[in-house]
Amino acid sequence: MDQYPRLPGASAEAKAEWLRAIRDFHFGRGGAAHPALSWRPAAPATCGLVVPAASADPTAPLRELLEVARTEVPARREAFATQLRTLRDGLADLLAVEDQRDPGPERLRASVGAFGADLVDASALDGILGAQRGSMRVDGRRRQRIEQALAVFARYLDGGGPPLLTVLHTEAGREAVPAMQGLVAELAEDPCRAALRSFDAAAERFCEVVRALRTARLEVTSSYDAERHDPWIATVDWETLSAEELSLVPTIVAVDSASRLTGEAMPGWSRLLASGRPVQVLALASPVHDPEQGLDAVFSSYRVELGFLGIGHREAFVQQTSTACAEHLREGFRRALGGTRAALHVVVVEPAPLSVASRAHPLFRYDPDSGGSWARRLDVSGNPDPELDWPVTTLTCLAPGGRAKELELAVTFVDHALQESALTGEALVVSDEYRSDDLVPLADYLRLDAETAARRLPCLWVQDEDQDLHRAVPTRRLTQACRDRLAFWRSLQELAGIHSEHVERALERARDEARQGREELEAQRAAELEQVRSEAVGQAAHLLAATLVGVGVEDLVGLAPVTAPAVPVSTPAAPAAAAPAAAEAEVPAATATISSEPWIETALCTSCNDCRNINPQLFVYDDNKQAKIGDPSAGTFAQLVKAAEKCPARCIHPGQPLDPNEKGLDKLIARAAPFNR
Amino acid sequence: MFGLKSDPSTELPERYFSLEDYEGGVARWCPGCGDLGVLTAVQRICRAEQLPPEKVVCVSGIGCSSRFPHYVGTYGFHGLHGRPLPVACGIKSRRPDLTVWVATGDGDCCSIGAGHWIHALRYNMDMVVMLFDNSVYGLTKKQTSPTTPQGMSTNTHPSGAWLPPLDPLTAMLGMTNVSFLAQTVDWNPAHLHATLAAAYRHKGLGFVRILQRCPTYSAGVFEDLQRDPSRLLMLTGPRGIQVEPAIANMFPNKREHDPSDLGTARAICEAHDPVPIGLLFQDESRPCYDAFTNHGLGMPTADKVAALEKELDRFTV
Ligand SMILES: Cc1ncc(C[n+]2csc(CCOP(=O)(O)OP(=O)(O)O)c2C)c(N)n1
Ligand code: SF4
Repeated sequence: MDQYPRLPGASAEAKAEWLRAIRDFHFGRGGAAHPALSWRPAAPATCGLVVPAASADPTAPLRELLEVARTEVPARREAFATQLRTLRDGLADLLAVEDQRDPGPERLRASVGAFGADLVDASALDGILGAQRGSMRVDGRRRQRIEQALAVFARYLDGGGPPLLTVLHTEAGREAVPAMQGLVAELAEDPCRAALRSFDAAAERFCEVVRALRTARLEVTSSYDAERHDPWIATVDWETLSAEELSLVPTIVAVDSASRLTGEAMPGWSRLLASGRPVQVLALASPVHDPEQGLDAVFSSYRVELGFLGIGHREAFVQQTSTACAEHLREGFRRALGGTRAALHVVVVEPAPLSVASRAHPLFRYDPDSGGSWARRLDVSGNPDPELDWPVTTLTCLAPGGRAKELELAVTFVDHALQESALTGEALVVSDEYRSDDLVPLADYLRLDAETAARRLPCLWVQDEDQDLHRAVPTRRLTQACRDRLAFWRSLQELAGIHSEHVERALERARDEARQGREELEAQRAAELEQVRSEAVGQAAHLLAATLVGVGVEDLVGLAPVTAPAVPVSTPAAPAAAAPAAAEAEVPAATATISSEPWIETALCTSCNDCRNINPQLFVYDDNKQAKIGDPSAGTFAQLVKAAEKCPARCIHPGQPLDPNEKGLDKLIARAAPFNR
Repeated sequence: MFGLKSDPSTELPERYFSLEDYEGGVARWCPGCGDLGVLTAVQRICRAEQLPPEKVVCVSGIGCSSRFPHYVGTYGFHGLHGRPLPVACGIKSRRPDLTVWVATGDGDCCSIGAGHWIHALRYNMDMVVMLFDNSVYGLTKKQTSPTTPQGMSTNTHPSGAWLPPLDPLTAMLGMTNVSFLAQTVDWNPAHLHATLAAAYRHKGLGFVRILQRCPTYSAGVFEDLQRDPSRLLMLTGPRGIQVEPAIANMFPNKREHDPSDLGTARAICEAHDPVPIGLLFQDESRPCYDAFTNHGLGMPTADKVAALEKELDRFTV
């Protein structure tokens, strides 16, 4: 500790001079050589971030995606294949039945065997069996359709199936592609454009199977109607597939760097996401410093949010995540592969979730399948301390007396940025000698209004190898980059419903209304109380007066100023049993209708055919196969009477004879009488 | 974009089935036989549900009533005497997609087939079983059946059936895992239809005993029930068989009954007079054996053959 720079004297001028140097450094005007900043502990580390020694595996995202595909896809494919096999067997049965129809003498002879051949005349048998009955024949076109479908099924079922993932990548992206079974990689100049073409080709191959499947479904139920179904089958393309079918189209993944995707490769992925094709875009992000883009990109502009641009496509699935948040990453992949949307995965490859903990790369998931509103679609859970600007970490350090002390520190973007070797020079440790309120912890600094901030400097805590704490001042440009991260995090928070100004305003309004309502209620209660009190006083006075003049209290009923509760006038209640009795009385009694027309109580007909066997024109069946009178002039009165007598349901009423000249009418009318009652 | 084009399900085949589609051969039952009404009721339910004829199987044993499958334009299995239920259970085991109607007589079911009857009820597979109970062996021309009323003269008991008849309802209310039990009469087509439809909708084995008139060999056994509907007790209630008020009014004798109440159902049946019609018992929570026997349905034929061979290989000597 002896090389510690000392503040010469405690004079105001000296202090101002030190401050000037720190300011110069902050604003990028030099100053770094000043004793205020020149001392550096051997191994300074920003506080709160534990930086792992191991580096991350660049193939981790695709490995994980493949793993998810492995748990989801084969079962789906198997269920589909089972469907196909059932249909295939159904179609094969159809053809087999067809082939059995005309067995021919040869086959018959073979089927009865050597022993039967002597006993059975196969040609004669063939003559008998040739006569077919029952189901429809399979004509030429139908056979062709069936055979075509069978061939497609065979190709699909015996083909071993497409790879689980087809990955398109640039030369630079090669290192992200693991050599694993189930994954096929192809080099492409623009992976997103190539993915679109790849998907269309894979979808077309799959649609051929779907066409065969649709045809087969219709064929096995013998309901293929060429006129209607030929054009329908012909229009099958990926957009007509059901969600379940679409999820079976082989998965295509375009891998590219986030910096290319926000630059020259933008049109390709944008078109892909807008097209609705369920293709996966894997964007590999370096949220602090992208070596492809140089240092300038960190400071020179507001960062373009690739994930946000993805959300702008509105109907695509978008997630921003990190390989260090394995569960979050996996869940996003699971949803993307389980859905039928284009998906953009902006993933940081890192051994520990530093970029998440520092809000450099907050986790989020935008899933249009979750509902129609932002609240349902956008999910920022998984971020540490999502309610706060910056996550808080607790640090144990030694206080001057040697006692351990707990310190709560905000972890900011700067803490993370300083871990990058290219950025270590963006903050310098300030001599402990220099104590001043001008240095404000960064998180607080960023909350200051512009005017106050102009008179202060941000600082953060760093620790040396002895775990002693020191303050460091970041450069202005790094501070601004940090401010930009905070602004983005706040907009994410607001969209996800955390600290939403809309909500806060609505809450305030509701509180106001509630307060107002309560006040009104209290005023009303007070008024009521007052009324009751004055009435009670009035009543008491009234009673008192009455007693004084000698009127009995009971005589006062009705005179009292307070309204007595109305006593209901009770009438003897009708016995409960009377109600159903009355209901029953309303039922029309079996009236003795004497109709001159013949008629049938159709609802009672048991379809026994007896009447129709007598005269099928006179008695006809309705839609329900129950009898009614058809053409009354098509039969005789004698037939009506006979039918009435036969009818086991006794529902035929012959009425009066139409033809007064019919023979034996007297007797018939007498026989009809019991059925006309 | 996904979802812009038509929904594939709207393009499914449209076939409309009329009553004729469910008609088979010309019914050769006696004139006035109650079986005819049951046939129509089943055909009407198939039409109402628009069941593709090739997705329906009617299964029967032997008897007049067991001619049923011949008269329906669907698949059918006219089996052995007393054995429709094992056949039906077999079908349901491997073809859960088919609707199964079982036609069986009182001789077929309660006499020679009684063993199968008990177990099919316990298996509780999803099907409708129609017991055509005409109190007699019809096809073989009037022998005493288990349900022949005591004293009725038959070819086997010319001086009158000697024993009191078996009551299939009380018997079934005592059988394990029964899940739907109803009774109806062939001469009220509306009640018959509503009861069979309820049994069809029931998940599990819907058993319907139909009092069926046989004007040829047991003429008159149901005469007084038909002439005097007050001899019948119509079971009503929100969970029972629902018919039009005009039909319900034909039965002066009614009683509200909760079909989950097994004890009361037993008491009603044991009284014998009046004769109950309607839903006696229903419990859809009872286990269905088809849920077990349907395992491995999607297994390809080749795999099945391979598995079988592997199993048989164990016995090679
Ligand atoms: C194993 C066997 N035993 C006996 C017979 C003779 N048989 C044919 S039908 C029948 C009884 C049918 O009575 P039921 O089941 O009540 O039907 P219904 O004819 O009354 O509708 C009998 C005993 C037979 N066909 N097979
Ligand atoms: S014998 Fe009886 S049960 Fe058989 S068809 Fe004739 S009426 Fe019907």
